[in-house]
Amino acid sequence: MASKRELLSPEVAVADEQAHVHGFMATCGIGNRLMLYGGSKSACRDEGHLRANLHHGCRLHEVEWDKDMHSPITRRLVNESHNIFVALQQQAENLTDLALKSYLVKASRYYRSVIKGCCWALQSESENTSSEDEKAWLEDQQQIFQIIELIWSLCEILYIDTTPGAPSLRQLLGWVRWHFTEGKKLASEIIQDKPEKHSCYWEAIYRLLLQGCIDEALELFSKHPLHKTDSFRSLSEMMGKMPQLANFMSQGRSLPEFDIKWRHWRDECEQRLEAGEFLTDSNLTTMAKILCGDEEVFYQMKDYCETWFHMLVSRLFYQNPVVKNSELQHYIQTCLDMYRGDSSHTAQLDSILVAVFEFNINQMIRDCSTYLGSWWFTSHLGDLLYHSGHLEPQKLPQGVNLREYLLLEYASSLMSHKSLWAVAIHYFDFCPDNGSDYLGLYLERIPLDTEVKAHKLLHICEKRGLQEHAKSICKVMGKKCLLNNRVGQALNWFLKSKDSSYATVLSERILTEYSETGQFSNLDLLENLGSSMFLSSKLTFLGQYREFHKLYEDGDIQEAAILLVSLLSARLAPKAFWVTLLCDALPLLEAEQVVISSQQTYELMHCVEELTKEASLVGDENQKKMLEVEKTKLSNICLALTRNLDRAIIVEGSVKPF
Amino acid sequence: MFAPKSIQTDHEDLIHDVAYDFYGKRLATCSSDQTVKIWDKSEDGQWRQSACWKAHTGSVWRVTWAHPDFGQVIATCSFDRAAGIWEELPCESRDETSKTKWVKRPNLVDSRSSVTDVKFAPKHLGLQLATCTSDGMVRIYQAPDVMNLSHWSLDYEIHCKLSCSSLSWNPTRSCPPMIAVGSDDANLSAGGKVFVYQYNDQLRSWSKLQTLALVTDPVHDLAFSPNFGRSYHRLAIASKDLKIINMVPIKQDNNLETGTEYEITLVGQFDDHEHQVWRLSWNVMGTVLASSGDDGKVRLWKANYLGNWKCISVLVGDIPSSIPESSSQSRLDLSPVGQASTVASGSASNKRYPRVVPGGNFGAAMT
Repeated sequence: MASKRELLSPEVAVADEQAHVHGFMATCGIGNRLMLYGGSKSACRDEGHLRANLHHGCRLHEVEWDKDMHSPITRRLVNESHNIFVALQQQAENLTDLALKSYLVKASRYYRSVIKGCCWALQSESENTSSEDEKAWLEDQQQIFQIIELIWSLCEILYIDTTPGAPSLRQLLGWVRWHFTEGKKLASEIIQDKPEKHSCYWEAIYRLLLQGCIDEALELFSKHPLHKTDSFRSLSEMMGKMPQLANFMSQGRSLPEFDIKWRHWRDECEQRLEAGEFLTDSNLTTMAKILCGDEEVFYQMKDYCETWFHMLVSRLFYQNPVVKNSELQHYIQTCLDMYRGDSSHTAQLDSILVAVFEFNINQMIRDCSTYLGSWWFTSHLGDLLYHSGHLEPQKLPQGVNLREYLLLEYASSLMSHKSLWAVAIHYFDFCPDNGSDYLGLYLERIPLDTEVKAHKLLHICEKRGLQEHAKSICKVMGKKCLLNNRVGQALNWFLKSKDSSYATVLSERILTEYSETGQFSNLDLLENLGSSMFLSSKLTFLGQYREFHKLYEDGDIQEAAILLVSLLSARLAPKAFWVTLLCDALPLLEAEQVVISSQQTYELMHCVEELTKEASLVGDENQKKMLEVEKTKLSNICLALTRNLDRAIIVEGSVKPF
Repeated sequence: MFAPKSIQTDHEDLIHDVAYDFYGKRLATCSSDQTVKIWDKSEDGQWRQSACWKAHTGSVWRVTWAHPDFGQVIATCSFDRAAGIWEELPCESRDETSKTKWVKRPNLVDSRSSVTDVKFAPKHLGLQLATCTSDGMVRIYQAPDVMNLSHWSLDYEIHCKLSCSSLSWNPTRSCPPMIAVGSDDANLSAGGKVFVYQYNDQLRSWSKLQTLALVTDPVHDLAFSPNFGRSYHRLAIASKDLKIINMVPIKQDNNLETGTEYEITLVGQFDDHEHQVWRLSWNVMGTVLASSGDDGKVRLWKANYLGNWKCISVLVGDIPSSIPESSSQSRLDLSPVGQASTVASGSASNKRYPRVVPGGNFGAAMT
């Protein structure tokens, strides 16, 4: 029991002298990551102890887990399986019944081919690498994926690619042949030259028989020099006569018919065996016993079957080829016992496969999650089983449904990667209960290193209606630009997030910059503000003021004058800027034609009056000095205003010539 | 698979707190050597110190980051009775080597005893900061103008009567501002050691919502779990054991005077740390909880899909020399009964099925 507990919560040692004495503390990071630091036990919290006991050179340790999917090869697996996953979700919505079923079979095979591809890539990579550590890791990974493929294909046979009422034994044989190739390899090796002399001749035949490869076994058998003798011929005949379920099914004949045929055939085998037809050679007897499904002989075949599940399939093939899928579990125990030996220990893979045979899917997924490294396998298989109706959605007060739990965990394990997060997003999309909440929490924590990435994230948020997050992204980007003194870009981001206080601050900055340098930065932006101009009054003014400059530069003096006066009369312009605006009015006032009417001139005079009044109230010496400069400016403006009023009244009073 | 990456901090004394920024790309550490250090993660995944300064005149207990919406801002608290707010300023040259400049925004010196914890409020509450002290005061500060962090006002003071060790803001958007405060008062007869306060918008004040009678032992740390779409709140409490509780709102008429009442349910209680539990840390989703305690180990906790919490991994400090390079000790034998040849490995007939590394696989919690 104690060791069981150890397995469930493995201890991982991290080298740290200080932590060895004082223990560790930890802070969780983003994704599957945490930072360890040498901790402080109770004694360390009082100041006296701290003073007396200096701890030099504290270290931090950043620990990451569930990173297996981040290597280049497995990354390909992630991307390819992602495509299958998304397509499957879409098809699952549209298709029903048989069409869905056949699609699920297809999807399952796609997944398996991706796993296979991954295995091969891992293998060739491990052959090419020179680093021992990497090689070990690659081999480990490769073996994990081989196990995954083994479990997956069994699940496919029993749960997905099923025909009601039809036994799966034929597919199970295929499964065994695919994963145990020793027999075929031996056969093809020794058939070349004098096979009967080969020490493994009989072994090869047994192995082939155990996998139900009757034709191949027969071929090898017929190479024996004695094959013309009666006993050999009798056995060959029986092998050739064996009814094959596959043939029956393809000819559209019924299962009971096959069953009768098969029983007849076996009775005949038994009769011949009992009649002593095969006594000439002990190997022939063994072969005949296999054909008869003799209980004893399988114990001798233990080594050739290698594992209990191979044994299970071999035995059923000769003892009960029409076994129903639901009855498979009754045959497991005997086979397990054959291999158990002294220890009562059942390895993890065994219990996983037993769970699959017993149709205990929850148990199977639990065990797989525990022992197979990553979430990739269980999440995709779980999803497939869910769509095939085998994973019942459970609604629990606290828990979540298993499919979603697995998908969320898998997607979460991708979110901490610098590019795989884009894949993970689609998995969240297909989690109806908590997906969008998870996505939201993760999205806002993706570092916004580049503008491109920020735009991409923004697009993702907008598409999913995550307005709050979109706003936050803009805000953070704006701040970032500001930190780098890129005012225009910053303003752009704040406009996107409709952040009026920052828009105000930045407008002020641009205005100050203008009054200092006489130049506008970020012209493009200012000229194309559009309706976002109304976000803050400062920004509106900034936009309008720039508009005035443009009109003036384009020579549209009349329009420019109207705009300028309206900026002042509507009190849109900040007071500190009035003098600048009034100075801007000077050339207009001095223009050859009268462009500012008497009414407008009065407005401007009001402004001058207001400024002068305020100036007289200021007491500070420095400010007074500053104001001196402004006062000169104001008196110049006053002069220009009166002159203009003079002209305007005359022009307005005269009868216009038609 | 666990892959530790070690960083030499050059702190001259014990590190008391380590805080990741919002994106996990920056790190702040604080220590008994009175300094605070900022670390930035470079493109190649290495942590580099970008700033270091003497922040206090006593041990710095805690450090915490504000939401990046408010800029690059951290807060610290110390034995020297102050809490500090620090802001990173734009610096002229932005090349890699230049150290950034952090300036002190006001030192919050209202406390007359050691400030034991400091936490920024969740982003939706604006730029607010709560501190708690060893003489039992909780103070809530606010920067009324987020453009100008040099001005902070002390908005509320809550007297907890018992020495406070830690506090946590409830991150839930949909409920009124809520703070849980833990007390490390050793007197068991002083009653519950976790107080929950809530802000009442109409009375414009904070008032005590509940005292958790469940915990009478000294509390060293507590933390609300991040909340996404849950109707209840979840709080982890580090005391003589680790407790995870749910606060489930009891449906009632909108009584604004008292606020919503909560039913407290114990989700998990674990004494694996043998004695006191010192520190807690939730991951972003609130799916993993890291705890550390008297046994010197860090334990990771996770709930399975049925909502049962389990310890899924343990991290333990070891003497450097005795550590093999990889975490090979934690490998499991996954061989089936008997032997199997594998297809793809070609030559490897009769090869045993592989050994699998379970370390760090959070699936363990599924059972």
